[in-house]
Amino acid sequence: MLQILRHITGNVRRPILDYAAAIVMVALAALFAWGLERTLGSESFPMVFLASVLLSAVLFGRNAALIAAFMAIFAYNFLLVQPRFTIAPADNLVTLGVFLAVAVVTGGLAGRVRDQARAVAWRARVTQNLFDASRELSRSSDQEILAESLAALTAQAANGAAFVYLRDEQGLSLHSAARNDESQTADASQLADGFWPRLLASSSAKEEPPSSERFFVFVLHAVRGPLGLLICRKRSRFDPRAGADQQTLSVLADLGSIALERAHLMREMTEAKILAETERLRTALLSSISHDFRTPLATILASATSLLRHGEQFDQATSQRLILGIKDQADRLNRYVRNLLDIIRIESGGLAVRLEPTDPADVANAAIERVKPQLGHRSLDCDFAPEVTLIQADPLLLEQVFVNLLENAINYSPDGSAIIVAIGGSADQVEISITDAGRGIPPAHLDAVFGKFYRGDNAGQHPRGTGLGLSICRGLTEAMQGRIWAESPVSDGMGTRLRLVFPGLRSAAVNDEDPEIAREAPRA
Amino acid sequence: MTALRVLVIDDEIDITGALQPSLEAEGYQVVSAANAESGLDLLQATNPDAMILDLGLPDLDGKEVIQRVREWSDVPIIVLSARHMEEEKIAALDFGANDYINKPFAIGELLARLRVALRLRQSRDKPAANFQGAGLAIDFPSRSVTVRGQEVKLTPKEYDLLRALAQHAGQVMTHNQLLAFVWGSADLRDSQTLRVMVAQLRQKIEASPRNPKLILTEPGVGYRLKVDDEG
Repeated sequence: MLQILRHITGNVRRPILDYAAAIVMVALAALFAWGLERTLGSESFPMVFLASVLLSAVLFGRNAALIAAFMAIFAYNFLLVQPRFTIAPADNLVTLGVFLAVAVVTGGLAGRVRDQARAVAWRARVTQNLFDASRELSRSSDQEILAESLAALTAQAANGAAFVYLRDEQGLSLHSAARNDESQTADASQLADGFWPRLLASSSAKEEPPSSERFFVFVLHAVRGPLGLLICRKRSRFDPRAGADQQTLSVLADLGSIALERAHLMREMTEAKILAETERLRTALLSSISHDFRTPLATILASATSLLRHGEQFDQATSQRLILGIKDQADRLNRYVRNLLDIIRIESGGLAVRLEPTDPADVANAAIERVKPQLGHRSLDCDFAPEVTLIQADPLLLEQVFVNLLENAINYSPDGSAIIVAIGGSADQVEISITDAGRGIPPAHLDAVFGKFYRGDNAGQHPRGTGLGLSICRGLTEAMQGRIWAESPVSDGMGTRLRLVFPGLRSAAVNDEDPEIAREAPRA
Repeated sequence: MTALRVLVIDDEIDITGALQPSLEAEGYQVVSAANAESGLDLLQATNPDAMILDLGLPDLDGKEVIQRVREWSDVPIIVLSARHMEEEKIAALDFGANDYINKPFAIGELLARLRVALRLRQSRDKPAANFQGAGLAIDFPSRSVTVRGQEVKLTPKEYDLLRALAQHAGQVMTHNQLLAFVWGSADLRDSQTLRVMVAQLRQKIEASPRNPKLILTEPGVGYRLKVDDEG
C-alpha cells in the first residue's frame, strides 16, 4: 500500500495532490478517532492525529506535513473537543499549543528527511542515466551512430521528441530524430534554422538559445565552435509526463558534444592519414619517375645524339650497338609507363574489370610471347595440366599479371637459369605458379614485396623496375577474385615461387560429334 | 609491276616519319594524312592497296572512319591503338578493320601484319582451294585437314572454326566474328563455348595443345592462325 502510494505520488509531480492526500490522511485520522472514542478515550486523540501528521510527512513531504498539522488542530478542535462542531477557545489551550508545536516540528523533520531521500534517489537516477548515456556515446566514433544515440537518449530522458542537427557542407541539417512526428519535426527545424545563423554570426559562444514553449534548444559546443543543435520536447513542470529537467538535458547535450567532437577529430585524423599516404605515393611516384625514367632516357638521348654527331665515323658494330641500346631502353621505358598507368588505374579505382570465361594457359602463352625478347639465355618451361579449366577473369588484366610476374622472374634470376610456369589444380580451383631460381626473398619480406615501391634490400643491385610490379599483380588478381602470394626459398635456399589461385568455372564440355548436341551446345 | 601503295593516317607526324622510310625500303609507296578528313580524300584520290589508321584522330572517331571507308571500299585496314583500349580495338575490328597493332610497336610487327593483309586481299579475288602453312594443310572442297602429314578428323563445328581462321590466316579474328562464322550468331553467352571449342581443336591439331603454335590467343580480342612469315 505504501509502495503503491509512493509509486503514484513519486511519479506525480503536482504538490497540490500531495496536500490533498495529507488532508485526506488527517480526515481519516479524525474518523478513526471519532469512531473509537468509546474504547480508547479522548486522551489518545492527539496521538492519532500526530500519527497522521507524521505519516503525511513521510509520504508527501514537509509542506504536506505542515498543512496536515494545521488541519489536525482544526479537526481536533472542531470534532472532538467539547463543545463539538464549534471552533471554540478550548479549555485546554496548552494541550493544543503543545500538540501543534510537536506536530509541526516532527512533521517538518520527518518531511525533510523524506524530501532529502527522494532528492538523493532522484539525483542518483539522473547520474546513472547520464552515466549510461556517456557509456553509450563513447561506444562509437561514427558521427551518424552518435547522432542517433544522442537523439534516442535525449528522447528517453525528456520523455518526448528529440532532434539532433549537425553542421555539414550544406550548413545545418537534421541528422537524427527520435519519437518525433512530422509537425514537431517541422517546428523544431524552423527553430533550428532560425537560431543557427545567429549563433554562427555571434562571435561568442554565449548566444542564448531561443526560448520556446514546446522545445528546449541546446547548442552542441566543440572547442572550434558549435557542432550543431540538440532540440527536445519541453513539458511543463506540472505535466505528469514531464521528463528530466533542463539541467540534466543540458548535461546530456554536453556529453553528446564531447562524443561528436571526438568522432569529428577521429575522422579528420583518418583523412589526414589518407592524405599523407596519397602524398607519400605521389612523392614515391615522382622519385620513381625521375630515377627510373631518366636512366633509360639518358641512354636513348646519349646514343641518339652520338649517332647524329658521329654517325659516319662509327663502324657498323658500334652504330648497331648504340641503336640496340636505344631500342632496349625504349622497351624499358614502355614497361615503366605501362606499370605506372596500371598502378594509377588501380589506385584511382578507375580499373574496369571485364570478367569472362578465360583459359589461364592461353593467357600465359600470350604473356610468354611478349616477354620472350627479355629472356636472354634463361629457359622458360611450361607445365600446364592437359585438361582445360576456365576461370572468370579479365584476360587482359590476367595477361598483365603474367607479364609482370615473368618480368620479375627474369629480372631477379641469373642469366642461364630456368623459369617454370605451371598451371594445374582442380575443376573448382585453378592454381598457377611461376618459379625462378634467383636469390629468393627473405621470409620476413614475403608479404612486403607486394607493397608499393618495394625493391628488396638490394635495390642498388637491381635497378630495373619501378617496384610496382607485384603491387600491381596483387591489385589486379584481387580484382578478379583471385589470391596471390610468394614462397621462398623454393629449393636449396634459392628461388622464388609466386603462386596464384583462382576459383575455377566448371567447364562446359562441348561435344558436337552428335549433330543434335552440336546445335544445342552453343545455346547452353 | 607498280609498287603497292599504303595510306598512313596518323596525327603524330613523328610516327608517320618513322614508318615512311621502312615502308619505302620494303618497296611500298607511301601516302600520308594527318587527319581523318584528308585521309578519306586521299583514299579516294590515290586508291591505296592498304591503309594504316590511328584510332585516336583529332577530327573523327576511328570507328567512324572505318564505317565510312567500308561504305564503299574494302581496302585492308590495320589500326594502331593503345594496349588498354581493348573495346575500341574490338569495335574497330567488328566494324571492318582487318587487323590491329598496339602502340608502341616494332616496325617488324607492323610489316608482318601489312603483308598478311595484302596477301589475303589478293587471295580473295581468286579464293584458294586449299590452305598450306605451319605443318597444317586444309583442302577446302573435300573438307580434309592434315597436320604434319597425318589426316585428322574434325567435327563440323571444329572444321568451320578452323576454316574461318585459315581463310584469314595471320589475321586476328574477334570472338564475335568467329561466333558469327561458326554458329551464325554473335551471342556473347556463347563465348565460353567458343573457348572450349578452340581448346578441343588445339587438342587435335597442335603438337602441344597447352602450348599452341598454330592457333594463337589474342587475350581479350580473339584468335589468330599463325602463318609462316618470310619476313
